[in-house]
Amino acid sequence: MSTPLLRVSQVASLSLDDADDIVRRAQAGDVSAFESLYRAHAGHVLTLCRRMLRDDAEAGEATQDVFVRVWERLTTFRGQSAFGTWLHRLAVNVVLERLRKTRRDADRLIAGDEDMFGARSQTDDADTVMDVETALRSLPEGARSVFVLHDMEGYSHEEIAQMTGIAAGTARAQLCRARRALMKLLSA
Amino acid sequence: MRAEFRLAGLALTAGLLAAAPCTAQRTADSVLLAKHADKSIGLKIWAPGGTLILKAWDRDSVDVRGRVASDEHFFGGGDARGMKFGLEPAGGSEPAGQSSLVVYVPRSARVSVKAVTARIEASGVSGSYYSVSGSMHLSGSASSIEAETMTGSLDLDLAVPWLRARTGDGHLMLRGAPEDVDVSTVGGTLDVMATSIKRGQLGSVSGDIHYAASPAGGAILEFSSHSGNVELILPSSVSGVFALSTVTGAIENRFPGVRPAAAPRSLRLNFGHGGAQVTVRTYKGAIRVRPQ
Amino acid sequence: MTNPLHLTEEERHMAADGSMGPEDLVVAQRHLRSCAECSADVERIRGLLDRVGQSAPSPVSTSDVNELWPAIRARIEQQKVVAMPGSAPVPARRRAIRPWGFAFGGTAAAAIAFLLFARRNEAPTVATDAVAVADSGGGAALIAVVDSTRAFEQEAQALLNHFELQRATMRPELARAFEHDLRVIDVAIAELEGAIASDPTNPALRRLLASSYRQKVDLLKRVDNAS
Repeated sequence: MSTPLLRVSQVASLSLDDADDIVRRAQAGDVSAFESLYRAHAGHVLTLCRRMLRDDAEAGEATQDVFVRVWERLTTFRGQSAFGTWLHRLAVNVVLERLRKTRRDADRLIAGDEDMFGARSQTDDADTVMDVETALRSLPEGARSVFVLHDMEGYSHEEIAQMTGIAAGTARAQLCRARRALMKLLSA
Repeated sequence: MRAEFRLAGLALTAGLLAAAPCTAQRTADSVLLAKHADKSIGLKIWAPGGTLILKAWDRDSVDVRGRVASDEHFFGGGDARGMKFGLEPAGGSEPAGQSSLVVYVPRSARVSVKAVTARIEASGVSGSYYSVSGSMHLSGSASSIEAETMTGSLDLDLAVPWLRARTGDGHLMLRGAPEDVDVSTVGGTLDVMATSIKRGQLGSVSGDIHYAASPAGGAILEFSSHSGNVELILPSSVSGVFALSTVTGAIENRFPGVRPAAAPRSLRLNFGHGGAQVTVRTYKGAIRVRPQ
Repeated sequence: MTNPLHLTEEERHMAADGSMGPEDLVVAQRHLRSCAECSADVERIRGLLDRVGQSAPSPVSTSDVNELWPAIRARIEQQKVVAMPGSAPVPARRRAIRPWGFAFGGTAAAAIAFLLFARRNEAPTVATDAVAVADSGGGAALIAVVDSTRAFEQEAQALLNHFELQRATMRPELARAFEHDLRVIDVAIAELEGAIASDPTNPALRRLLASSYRQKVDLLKRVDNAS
């Protein structure tokens, strides 16, 4: 088996030409080059999956799905955006698909179930001041997705609406609710 | 006086004639570039015509030597991590392609070569090689190779974990010890004599494919052609499962005691015990299997 | 409360995260200067956003990254070359070798060695079975092949559109080679599409069509690389 061409630290210091070359070789089917891309981006993707999916094992599976999808779609990457941006967008789509498939409470949240926030925040240990990541895990799926995508990953409401299939106005409303819930959890 | 002028004129003419070869061939195997380089330097090389020879060496430098024809000039630059060099027209007209370059690079370097008609020879140099009509002979050990030409031929004699090669009408010869292989032609003949392939996609549109080797144990090989004939010449020690199918072509098997099914046109051969999995598919090309 | 017309919930959030438009922001800021309640709330939201911005994500260890790679590699390798129908699937993980396995292994190895030795001295053993339909992959396989063909077809069309603009500036010899190869591949595609029209559920034809489209995509990329 061939060894990976570059480790994470090396990829981080690559010039644009080098990075382009690795992407192009991966597009041509070079698995070693693809492994270099994986090692450069896996950390960010895994973090995204953990934040969006709450469960570490599921986040690992989703990360696998993301990179298999990246491999399948590599030839459609035209270099019009940075590779990382393209990959990140694809990762978000894979995670959202997974959320949709598992039919969790996202639908209920989208419909505006305020009670869920109250119920969740009351069940948490009121004496513990949570860190952000833990508090995030307490949010319902839909609100967490919108919060992560908007406040942590920098997507606009319009982009979120396009990716999740909800209206931009609904995304705004969910973001407000998610922030309020987090404020409660973090100040407890 | 007139005679003196005539002599002077003759001398001038002779001088110009003597100087002509010097301008036509400005340098004879001179050093065009010599620079310190990182072991894993990336190199972009532009060699439109003539000859380009690449050699890997165990030094931390890049050396470019050669002869540059009068209608071209050498350009180059970069640092220890990356360099770009090559030949470009000296005037407005298309160069005749008489230049030749010999490039020495560190063994772990990666090159990206672009050529038009240039003949390329590389030994132990990893990277990508693109050409319009030039032929390529790539050999030695490398970490990965990508070779493409529109009409030129490819002669690949490589020990490489990953190989991808494409040609149009050119001949593609694959030898050596490649492992993960993806090679194809449009109309060119594809000859494969490598036994080391672990995973292989070998295809053509109308070109014939000849495979004369024994597939490695556990190898998965997939041959595919639209109208080209696929011939498998196998040694008596071969081991593996061969699934052959064609839509309108013929299947000819010269191993004794085996006849293809009449309809549909398909045949499954089990040789030995386990071993490789080989699939052959054609639309109208014939499939022939015979012992070596 | 100095101003009975408070900012809406959404306006407070937009004022806090800076996503409010300039005209609305002027109005909102005027209100915030005079309304302690809204102003305090906007500050609380800003406090949350600052805290989120400063919080580092849970670190992803190298071992997490390493652990996931083999499964990803196995999945993409399976896609690169499709194993023949009926062949045993490649196990995702190797089973642990048990101690007693060595005893059986030794006996089996001796038997295999004997058989191999015996086999070397005779003609190759050839067992055949006619394949009913060489590419009988079932409905799922057919769908996968159709999807694959469609993906290549779309990519080829996108690349062709891109090349329409470049064709005029191509070197003549490159353009000639390109046109020639494109014709050869298009003839193959036309033949296969004709055959599929009369036998639409034949996966073998679909696979060949996918191969031809892949050749077309490769050709277009090859021209791009040679340009």
